[in-house]
Amino acid sequence: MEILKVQNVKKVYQSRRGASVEALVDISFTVNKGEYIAIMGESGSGKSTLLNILASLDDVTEGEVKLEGVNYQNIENDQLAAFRRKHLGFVFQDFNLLDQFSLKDNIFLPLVLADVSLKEMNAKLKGLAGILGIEHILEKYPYEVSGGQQQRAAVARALITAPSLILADEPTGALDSRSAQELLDLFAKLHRAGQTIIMVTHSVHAASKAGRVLFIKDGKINSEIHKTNMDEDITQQIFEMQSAAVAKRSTV
Amino acid sequence: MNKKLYVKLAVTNIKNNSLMFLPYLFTCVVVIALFYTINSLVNDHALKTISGGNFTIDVMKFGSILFTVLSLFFLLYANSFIFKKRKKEIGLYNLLGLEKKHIRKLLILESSLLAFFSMLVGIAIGLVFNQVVGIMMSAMMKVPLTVSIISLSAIIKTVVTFMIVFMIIHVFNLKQIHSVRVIELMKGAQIGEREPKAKLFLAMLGSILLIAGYLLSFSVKDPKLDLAEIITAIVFVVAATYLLFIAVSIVLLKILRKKDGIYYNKSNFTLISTMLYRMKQNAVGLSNIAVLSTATLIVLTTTISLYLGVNTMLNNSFQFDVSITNPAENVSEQQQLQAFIDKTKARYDVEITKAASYQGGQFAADLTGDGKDDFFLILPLVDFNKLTNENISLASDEVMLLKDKESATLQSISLDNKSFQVKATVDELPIDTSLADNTDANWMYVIAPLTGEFAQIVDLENSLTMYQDFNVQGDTNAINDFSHAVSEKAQAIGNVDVEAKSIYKESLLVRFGGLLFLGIFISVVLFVETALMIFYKQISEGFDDRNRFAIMKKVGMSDKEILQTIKKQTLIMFFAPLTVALVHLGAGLPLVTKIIGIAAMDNWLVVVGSGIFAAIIFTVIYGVTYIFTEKNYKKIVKY
Repeated sequence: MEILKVQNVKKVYQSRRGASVEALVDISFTVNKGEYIAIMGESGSGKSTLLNILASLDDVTEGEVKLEGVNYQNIENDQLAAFRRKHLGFVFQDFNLLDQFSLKDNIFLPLVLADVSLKEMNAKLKGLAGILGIEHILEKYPYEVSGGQQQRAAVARALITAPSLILADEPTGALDSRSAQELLDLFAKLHRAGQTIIMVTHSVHAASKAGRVLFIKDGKINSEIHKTNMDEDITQQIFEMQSAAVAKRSTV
Repeated sequence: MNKKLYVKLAVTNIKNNSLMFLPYLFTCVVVIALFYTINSLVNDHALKTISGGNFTIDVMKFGSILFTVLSLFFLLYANSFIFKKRKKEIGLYNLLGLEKKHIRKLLILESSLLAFFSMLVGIAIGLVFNQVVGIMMSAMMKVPLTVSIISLSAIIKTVVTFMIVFMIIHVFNLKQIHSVRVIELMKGAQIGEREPKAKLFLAMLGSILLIAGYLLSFSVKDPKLDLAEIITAIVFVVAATYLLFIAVSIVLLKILRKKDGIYYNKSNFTLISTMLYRMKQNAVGLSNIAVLSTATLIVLTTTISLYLGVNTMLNNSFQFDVSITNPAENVSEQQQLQAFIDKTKARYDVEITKAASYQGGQFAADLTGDGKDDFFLILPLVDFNKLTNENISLASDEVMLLKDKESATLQSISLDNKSFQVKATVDELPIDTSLADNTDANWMYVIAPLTGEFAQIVDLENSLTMYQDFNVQGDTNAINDFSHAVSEKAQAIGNVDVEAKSIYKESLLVRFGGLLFLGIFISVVLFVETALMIFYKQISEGFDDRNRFAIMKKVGMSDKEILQTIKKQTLIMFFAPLTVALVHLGAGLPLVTKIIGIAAMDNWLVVVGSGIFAAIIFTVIYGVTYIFTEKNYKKIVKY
């Protein structure tokens, strides 16, 4: 079942001097429910722009993005936040937990904004905290726990609203290798449970865990690797794809 | 390195950091302009020659020193703040190869540019401001001041003073770059600040100190005797203000956070937690603002009350429009003056009403037997009988007293170890008895037979003074001119002394007019500096909050909700100190009334009115600062 449809998306930024920069030229892809997708690309390839557009934090210049059949452009401005809260969960490279909240309150934040009762919030958190293994640190503050623990709390915050889509931006970027592996295992577990995930990453290892890898270059989808089954090891293919892109550039 | 490049770099730096530098520059300019204005006014020839003028000059000189010292601290504070924000930039220069000596040179250039510019503009504004204030002051004091166009000595004084101020600031800056290493300079804002602990003990101490301070200030009876009490009360309230923001606020917020129904609510969730988180860095800043605001309000209230209370003061000190006194042997001079008055009153179109003419003498001795000398005036029995149309007789060892708090219960008084029976007390005398409630020393009014023992001990007969008290009716200006004419005539004749209400009023107006201006000046300086503090505090928060709001947006907070949170947050941060200051002012009004009671101004209605007036003006200006700051804050957090 198709959950996200990105069609001919173009994004042009106007620079201060009036020159326009094409961040995204023509991007189209669809994501099915339960899919685990990695987006790779070098700095400046347009992947952050794409992520911001998928996150509804930025508008498209042309084309359209539809999540569960809803076109982003048709959402009223004051409904956008509620839409984001309901349908999207974010995981960031630097966790983006708020220092003023305990981990529990950080996780509750989207629910509090949605006027969910405390009883309901606690019920939701209980199951989630068990899966993520953070029950014992819920009362702690972000600066009191390790990076891996912070990231797991951030994942809990992303998941607590049961969003249709998780958007992860370099989620392993600030983690040591052990915590990174734990996070990837967690993502795999979520994927198996049917969660749709889009992850932007530089890491070949992280990307190799996804079911499909999209390569973005110069604002376009350059190529794509599709796993036939989730146990397939596509590390080598990703490497080849990357070096091909570099080789192509050096011959130009 | 090329000199031109330095200048260019310094100018660019200031331009790029204009949001930081502009309020700082603005404050410098205001302080310099006021400093110049005051120093130019104190040189005014007209002010020096009028009665009461020297008092005004001294007070203004003192005031200008006071606010310069105060300003130094503020500019240092603002400067350290700017510097903190620029650490990264300076670290970058260092990294790019500029040695500390080069950076020092750059900083000297920047400081000189800022100093030069603020002095130039400050003095220029001061020149204009001086004229305006001169005209206003002339009107207020009802004395024409000369008001020089340009005062060279004031300019030199201003330049020298602020050169020193800027030099001190510069030295502090140099010290700051000296003590930090590149790696520290390059570091961004600190992350992961710990949540403040609830300090229940301090919160309780704060509440107790506040109540104790208020009660102490209420209990002051005589401000001159209870000075220690007043100072203790002030110290208590200031300490309580700090504790209020440091401890009480956190305890309160923590209680709110414990209440799930309140805390886990869309509109309070981020607000309570952010406030709690911010309180640690802000508590001291907010307390500073509250204390400063209170000081501004009290200064403003006091000076306005004094100025508006001039009439109350006059009526308390003068029961008659003109009083003529002369030693009894100079009766011919007195008659000469009397003749002049009779002759000239028609010319000024005024009439003499309600006159009292009597003799008496003023002495000091311990009458009440409490070991302290009492001032007293003896009114001979004959004069009393004549003035009151009565026929009372007193024995040689009997006296009568004017009734007041002290004398009401006296059975007898003693002089030179001899006791005198108090036959009666009289409620009022038809003479000027304003000394009876003089706040410096309560005079006693003793009625005794001229040939009685009491009068003989002090040898009243040979030291009699003649008093002529009378009121004048007519046009106010005519009364004033007439009073001056009489006073001048008395001086020309000699041996007769004239005191006139309208002349005294002039000197009071000069004094309190000057005081009022100084009060307004100091309030302006305090206010500008309070605003500066608020601005820098809020802006520095803006930089920290930017990231916070970006996260909240991604998590699903709408722009509208973020804006509301920002608004609530700034509103509380802004108006908490104002509210505290206004409460302090309200609680301080009784004490202010008592203190200015020393100056014979005991009309509490005037004080309350002035307090309300000061509060309204302050709140309005405060509100404007709020709007300006909120706008810039939003710009920083990108909303």
